[in-house]
Amino acid sequence: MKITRREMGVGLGLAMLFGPMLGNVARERVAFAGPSKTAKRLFLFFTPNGTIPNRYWPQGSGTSFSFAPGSITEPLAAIKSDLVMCKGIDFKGFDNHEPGMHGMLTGDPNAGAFGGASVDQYIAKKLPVASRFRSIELGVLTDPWGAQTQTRMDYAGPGMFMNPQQDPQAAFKRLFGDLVGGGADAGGAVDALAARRKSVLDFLKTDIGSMRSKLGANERRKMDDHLAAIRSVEQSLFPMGGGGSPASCGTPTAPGAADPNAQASFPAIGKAQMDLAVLAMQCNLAPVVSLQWSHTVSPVVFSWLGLTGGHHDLSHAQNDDFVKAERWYAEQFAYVVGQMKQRGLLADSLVVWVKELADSSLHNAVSVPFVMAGNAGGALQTGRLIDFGGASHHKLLASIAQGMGVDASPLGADADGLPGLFT
Amino acid sequence: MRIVATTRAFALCLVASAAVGYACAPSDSSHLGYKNDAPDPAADGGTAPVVPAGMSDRRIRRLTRDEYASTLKDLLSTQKDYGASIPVDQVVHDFDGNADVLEVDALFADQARQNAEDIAAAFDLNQVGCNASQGVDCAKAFVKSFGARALRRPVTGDEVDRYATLYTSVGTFDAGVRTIVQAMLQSTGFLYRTELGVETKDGFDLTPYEIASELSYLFWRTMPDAELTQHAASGDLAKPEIVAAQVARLLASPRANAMLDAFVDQWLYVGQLGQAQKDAATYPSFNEGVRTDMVGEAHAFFENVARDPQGSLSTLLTATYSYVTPSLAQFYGVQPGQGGGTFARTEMGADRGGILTLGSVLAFEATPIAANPVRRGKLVRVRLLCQDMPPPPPGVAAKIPPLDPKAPNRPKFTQHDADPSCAGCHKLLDPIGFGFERFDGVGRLLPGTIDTTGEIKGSPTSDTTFDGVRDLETKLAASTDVRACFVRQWVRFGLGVSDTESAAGEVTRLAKLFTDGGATIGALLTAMTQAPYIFRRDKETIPSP
Repeated sequence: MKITRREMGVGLGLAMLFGPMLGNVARERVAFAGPSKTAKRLFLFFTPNGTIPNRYWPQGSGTSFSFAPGSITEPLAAIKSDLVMCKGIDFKGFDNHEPGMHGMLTGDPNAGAFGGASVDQYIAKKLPVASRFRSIELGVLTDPWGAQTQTRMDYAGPGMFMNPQQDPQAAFKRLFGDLVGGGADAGGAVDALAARRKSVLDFLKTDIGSMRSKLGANERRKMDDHLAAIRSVEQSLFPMGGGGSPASCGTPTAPGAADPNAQASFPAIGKAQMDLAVLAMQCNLAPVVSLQWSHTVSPVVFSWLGLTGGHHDLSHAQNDDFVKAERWYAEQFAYVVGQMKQRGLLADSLVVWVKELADSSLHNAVSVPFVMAGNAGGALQTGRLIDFGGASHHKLLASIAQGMGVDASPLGADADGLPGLFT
Repeated sequence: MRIVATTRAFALCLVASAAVGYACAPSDSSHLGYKNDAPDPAADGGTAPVVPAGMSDRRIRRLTRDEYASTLKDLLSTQKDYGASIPVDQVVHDFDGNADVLEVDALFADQARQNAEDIAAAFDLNQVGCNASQGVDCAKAFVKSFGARALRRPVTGDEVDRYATLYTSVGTFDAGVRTIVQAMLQSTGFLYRTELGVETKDGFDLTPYEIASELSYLFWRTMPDAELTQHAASGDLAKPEIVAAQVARLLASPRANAMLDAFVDQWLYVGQLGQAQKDAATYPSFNEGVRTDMVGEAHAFFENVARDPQGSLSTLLTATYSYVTPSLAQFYGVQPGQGGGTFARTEMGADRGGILTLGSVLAFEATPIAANPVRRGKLVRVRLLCQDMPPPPPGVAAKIPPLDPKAPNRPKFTQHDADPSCAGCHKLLDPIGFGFERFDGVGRLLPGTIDTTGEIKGSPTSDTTFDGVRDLETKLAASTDVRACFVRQWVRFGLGVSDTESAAGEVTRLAKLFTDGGATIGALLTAMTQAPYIFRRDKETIPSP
């Protein structure tokens, strides 16, 4: 679909069309001991229920390693030169499903390492506001159990989930609706709709303040959080700092209809969400994007592979069916990295495939599988397998922050990150 | 979305603790639950801590996703589901209405904006009742009439002025009216219901409109209808006897099915049966029709017991009948029901009866290829006894033995008894689940001689041995623990409160009224709606802005 001036301008504000592109926005950084070159964007990719260590890790080390035939990570062979297999990174002081899900990105399920926020949100808040969204969270079948610590990995703060959107059509409308004329304009002029949106946002801010004044101290946090949400909406509609570069987006295509709650739709929904994530990055809609497949203790049955057991049950049996399911996830990771490369996004991106457990049967967190991809703007030399020998995963979180040019000082002794990861 | 409490992972996997001698201490919610519910304020860097509201505290409640969607359906007389794009609610104890955690986050706000814009753009201006020639006076009249329904109360003078200013800023009549709709459907008055009241000498009296919303959202999960609104307008809803009469009307209405179905969906996970995958080779007769009918059966059974003047917790557990379709009757191997309706009442035979033998419950608490005594034991432990199981300690080794779907489960799980590190927790789960061995992974009766003896251990006052689910249900029906737990689940579900000490006190008070009322569900719902928190709140200092 052709993007016209009229459609593109709705609510986004015309200034952004001529504004600076995200990559040109000067970042004011605190001096820190990070790499001299950094990534422009972070993409987190989660799959659940741990792995079978001896069928996961490639053989070899450094630049000399290979994926065994039939192993879980063999599908990554196609993108071997674009990734770093990060072995020997442990969660310290916690393991198992729910703590793993909660602590994987926050650093710790109890105390947290970034005051309760997950590393992606910590980074998103530190970066200058330069795009429509600080971050975008997409999910695949993340909602059937409701929002709870087992089903959420991204946290705005202690106990505050960043809910992923698991419906690609709704996500598409949110991210690209105005660009392709899917907005709510009922015939009025573009500028008029933008003006109405501005008026309504101002009205809502007053309205929230009015409600807040009627509340006791304990309930006021609800209005404070609501106001912050309205400010996020405002930024997405009337972005300060440029707001991305729709001109580089290509042609957004709306995902087809599929029930996001149906397990049979899992591959189709997943494909749509991966494509949306890549497109969102290509359009510079947010510096931080995450894609969460299901959640810990995931019961998804990979019926499209002919499997009959639920993913979590298989993860305990650690049988060939589990390997098949895990290989399928590896294929998805290879696909999305391939798409990023094809669109020229990989060189200045940092991509991390994260998991919440190491050995799926032992429920432990010793050498949790982490894979990085992308060159992080030149900081990350790929095509390697590195064994960090039992390093705390706080070092990994520090490296992720550093790779995005963000100081990781809350991590204290681990703030320097993983040794030898970045150049 | 904020976290108050957690957890359901544990029994979904078979866990054997490597920490020898690990003692499993289930937490009785009435003693410990509230501690789990209170996040550490010190950890809440920068933003205000979540202190769960007590029973008598003034508060606001964001509409749940379901409530938001059904309110828009009623307000706009549409069948469109505007909840589909709204993020799913945070669940606390697997219930969706906890007011302490329901907030408007960035995704919610943006999707509500999108919905409001879509609705405004399509809004039929003929509904406005006046036109451009009356200008801002028409806009104000519309704000009052549409707002009275959207906000579930009269619009204040200050609000009318603010909406009029918004209208005027837009320029044209049509766009101005649409902008009013667009703003109102994102406003706090629409997205939240208030339990704030009007200040009196010694506290706050909730307004009749607030009471109307409490009742309506509790019983119908949507905005008040005309009759409730009328009683709010006349002010007589502040009288307990008027509330009682309205409660009887609301419960008798088919519209209360929304509430009754939601309770059983969330209490016993009936609503999640759609997510329970079943292996077609192992269970060829378990088709989508059976699955749908099982959910319908659970709803019909619960609705009928709840509306039966004699329908009690005991009835739920020990009824010999259920409500089935002809094809579900065939699946179970019972006679089709007599009488009208899609789901007709029928006797379920010697081995089946009571809510724990519903196909929906049995099939959900199983794997895709087999029954699972751990899951079934945990259901009883957590949902009927309100004993939350702790997560396994660090360093567990959890190997699931290969499962033969044809073989009984008991021998496979005896490893838990043999290993002392397993036994700590599994003695609390497996022996209850073994009582379900007559039922396979999709809720059918298995033939032949099957050991269905079981045991409840480690409960406050309900320890017992039993043989088969019906015997278990009879014993659970006599348990004061189960009665208190049932009340607690309704307090969580219906009142949207966390497990605070004041909530625990209210559970104790209601449990007595419940028992005195013959433990009928009607008695419980009546007691809940005659309670002080329906009518008033404690004194509180409102800080200056």
